[in-house]
Amino acid sequence: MTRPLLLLLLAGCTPWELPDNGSNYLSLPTWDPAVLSAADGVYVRLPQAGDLVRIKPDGTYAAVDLDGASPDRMVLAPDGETVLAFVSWPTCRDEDPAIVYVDECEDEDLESDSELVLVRDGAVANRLDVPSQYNAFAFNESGSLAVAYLDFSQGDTIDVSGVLNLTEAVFVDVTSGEAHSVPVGFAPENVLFSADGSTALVLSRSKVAVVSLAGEDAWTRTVTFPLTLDVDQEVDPDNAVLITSDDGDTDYALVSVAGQSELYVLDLTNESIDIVELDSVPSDLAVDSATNHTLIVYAGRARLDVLEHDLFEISSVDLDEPATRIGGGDGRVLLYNDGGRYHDVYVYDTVAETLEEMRAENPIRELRLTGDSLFGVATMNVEAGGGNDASGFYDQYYGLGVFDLGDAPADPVALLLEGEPVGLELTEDEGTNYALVLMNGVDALQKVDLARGAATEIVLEEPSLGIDAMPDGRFVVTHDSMLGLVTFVDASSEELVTAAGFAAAGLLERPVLPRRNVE
Amino acid sequence: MFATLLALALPAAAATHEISAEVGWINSSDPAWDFFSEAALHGSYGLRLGYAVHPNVAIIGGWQHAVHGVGTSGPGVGAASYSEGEDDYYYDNEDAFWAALYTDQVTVGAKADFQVLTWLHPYATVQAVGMRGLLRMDDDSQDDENLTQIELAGLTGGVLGAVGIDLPVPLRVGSTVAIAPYAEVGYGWLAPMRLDQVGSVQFAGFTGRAGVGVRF
Repeated sequence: MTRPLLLLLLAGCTPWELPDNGSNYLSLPTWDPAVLSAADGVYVRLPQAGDLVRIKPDGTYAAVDLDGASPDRMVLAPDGETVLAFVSWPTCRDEDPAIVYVDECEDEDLESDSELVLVRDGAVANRLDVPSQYNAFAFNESGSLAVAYLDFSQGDTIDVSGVLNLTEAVFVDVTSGEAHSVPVGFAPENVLFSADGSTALVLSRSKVAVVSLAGEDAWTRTVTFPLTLDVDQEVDPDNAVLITSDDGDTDYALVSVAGQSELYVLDLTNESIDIVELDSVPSDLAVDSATNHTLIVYAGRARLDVLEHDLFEISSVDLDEPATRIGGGDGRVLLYNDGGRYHDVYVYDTVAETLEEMRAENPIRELRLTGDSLFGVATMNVEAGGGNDASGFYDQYYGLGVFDLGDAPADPVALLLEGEPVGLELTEDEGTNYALVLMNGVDALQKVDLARGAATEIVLEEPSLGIDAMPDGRFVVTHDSMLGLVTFVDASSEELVTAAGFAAAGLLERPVLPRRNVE
Repeated sequence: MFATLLALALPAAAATHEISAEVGWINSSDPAWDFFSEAALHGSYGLRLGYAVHPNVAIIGGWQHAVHGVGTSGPGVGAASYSEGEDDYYYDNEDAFWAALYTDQVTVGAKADFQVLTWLHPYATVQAVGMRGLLRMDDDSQDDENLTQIELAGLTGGVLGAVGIDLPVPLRVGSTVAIAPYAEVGYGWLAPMRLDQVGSVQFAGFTGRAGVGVRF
C-alpha cells in the first residue's frame, strides 16, 4: 500500500483530481465562441491571452503570429479564405530599453496602436493602416473588395481615441491589401455594389454617395444624391436595393428611409432622384430576379406591393396578416413576420402572381431558405397562450417549421424542440435537404430531413453553444468550455472530430511590449 | 567554485556524510504563477544527501517535489455571454477551470562548512538545479475523463547559492553520528519552463530550505 502511494506522489503518476488551494481571476473570457469558419480551419479569438488561433479540421491548432498584437474584431471575407482582423498592441511612451513587459510600463505611459490585418492560411498576408474604430464591413459579391465603415447601431463598440472621422469609409482590396479612404458623407451605414462591380453606393445620413471602383476616377466619390435639401433635417437611409437592367447595367437604387413611407428612386444614369409614395413605412425590400420587380412589405400593413421598374408603378397583393420580411427572390418568395405577433407565412409566385398562405405554429424568430430555394426553415419561439388542444401544447415549446416552396408544396411541418434553438444551419447531401439544429443544453445535433420532416441525432460530447458552416460543407459546433472545445461535424458521414484545450494557448505568457524598435 | 574556495580557506573540519529530510521554497514573481498559487512562493519537500570529499567540503544532492494548484474563474463563454449583434461580451455568467503544476527538482552541488562550535557549523553551498514540471488543466471537476483535460510537461534548469547553519547534536558523547537540524537562505534562478503553447513559468528570487537529518 505504501509503495503505490509513494509512486503516486511522483509527478506523472498523480491522480487526476487537481489541488484547489486558492483562487485566481481573469478579467476577460478565455475564448470567443463567435468563431470564423474559413476554408483552412476555424479562427478563434482568445481575449484573455490576446491571441488568435487557427484550429484545423484534424483538431490540431496553432496561434497566428500577429507580431505581438491582439485581435479585437474580425470578419471572414466571402471568399472563405481571408480573415480581416482589427488588431491592437500596447505601446509604452517610456523608451527605456529595460522595459520589456507590459506590466513594467507605468500606466500613464501605456498607449495602444492598431491596424487591420488580412490573415490567410494561418499567417498574416497584409497589414493595413486602417483605424480600428471601424466596426462593420461590407463586401462585394466576389468578396474581393471590403468596405470598412462605422455601424452606429453598435455604437458601444466604437473606440473614440484621438480624432475619429465620421465621414469616411475605407475600401480594402482584399487581394492586394491596398486600402483607400473615401469621404462618403456623415455616418455611412450601408454599402451596396453594382452588378458589374464598377461602383459602390454608400448610404449615409441624408445622402447617398456613389464611389467609383475602377478607371481613372477609382476610389473617388463621383456623385452624391441628397435625400433632403434641408440641412437641419436628418434622414437616415434604412433599406436599399439596386435595380439592374437586362443588359447588366445597374440603373437605379431604391432607398427607403427610417420612419418614412417615401421610397427614393435614385437614377444612377441620369443622376436624378424621384420619390415613390408608399402607403406605409416599408419593413423590407427585395428584387425578384425572375420578373425584375421590387417587392415591398410593411410591418403595419397586411399587403405586398410589387413595384415594376419602367414607370415605377405599384400593384398590390392583400395579405391576411402583415409580413415584415421577404425571403428568396427567384420567382417564388417567402413572406413572413418576425415581429413576434403574427403566424402567417406566404409563398408568392412572382411570375404566376399567385399567393399561397401557410401558418407557423408559433412566432418565427429566424427563417432561412435552402440553397435551392425549395424549403424555408424557421426556428420558432415559445408563445404565451394555453389551452388543452394541440396548439396550446405547441405554444409551450420552441419549434422548427419547414415550409415547402416547391411547385406542388406539401403541408408545413411543425416540429417540437426539446430546448431553445441556439443554432441552425442548412445543408444538402445527395439531393436531400437537411437542417442541422442545435438546442441549448442538449448533447446532440438534430439532423432534420426537410422533405420527410424526420430527425436523426448526431450525438455530441458536450452541450453546444452554436453552429457555423465551413466553406467545404462541414460544420463547426462550439461548446461551453472555458479551456476551449469545438467539434467538426461532417453531416454526411456523421463523423466528428473534436479540438479541445485551444483556449489555454498563451494563457501563461507574460505580455511583452511588441514592436519596440519598429518606427 | 565559491564553496570550494571557501572550504580551502577554512580551518576546523566539519564536513560529514548526511541524509536529511527537508522543506524548501523559491520565489516566483512571474504572473503565470498566479494560475498555481496565491503566494509568490514555490514550496516543496524532499531529501538531501551529502558525501564528504574533504574535511570542509561535501558533495550534496537532493530531490524536491511540489504540487501547487488553484481554481481560476472568469467570464464564461456560455450561452448569452456574447452578442454578435452588439459585438460585445456580457459578463453575466462565470466559469472556472483548475490548473496545477507538479514539479520535481534535482540538485547537485558542493557544500563547504566549518566548525565554529561543536554544535554550530555555518556553511555555504552552490548547486545546479534541474526541474521537471507537469502542467495539468481541467475545466470540469465533475468528470474524470472530459475532453478538455490538458497535460503538458516542461523542463528547466538553473543555479542556486545559499548560506546556512547546521546544528549537529551527537546521539551520545563522543559519537560520530549526530542529529542535525539545518536552515539556509540564498538566491536561486531557473530559466523559464516552457509548457508548449500554453506558455511558460519561471522561478527566480530568494530561496530557502530547512530540514533535519543524520550526520555521520
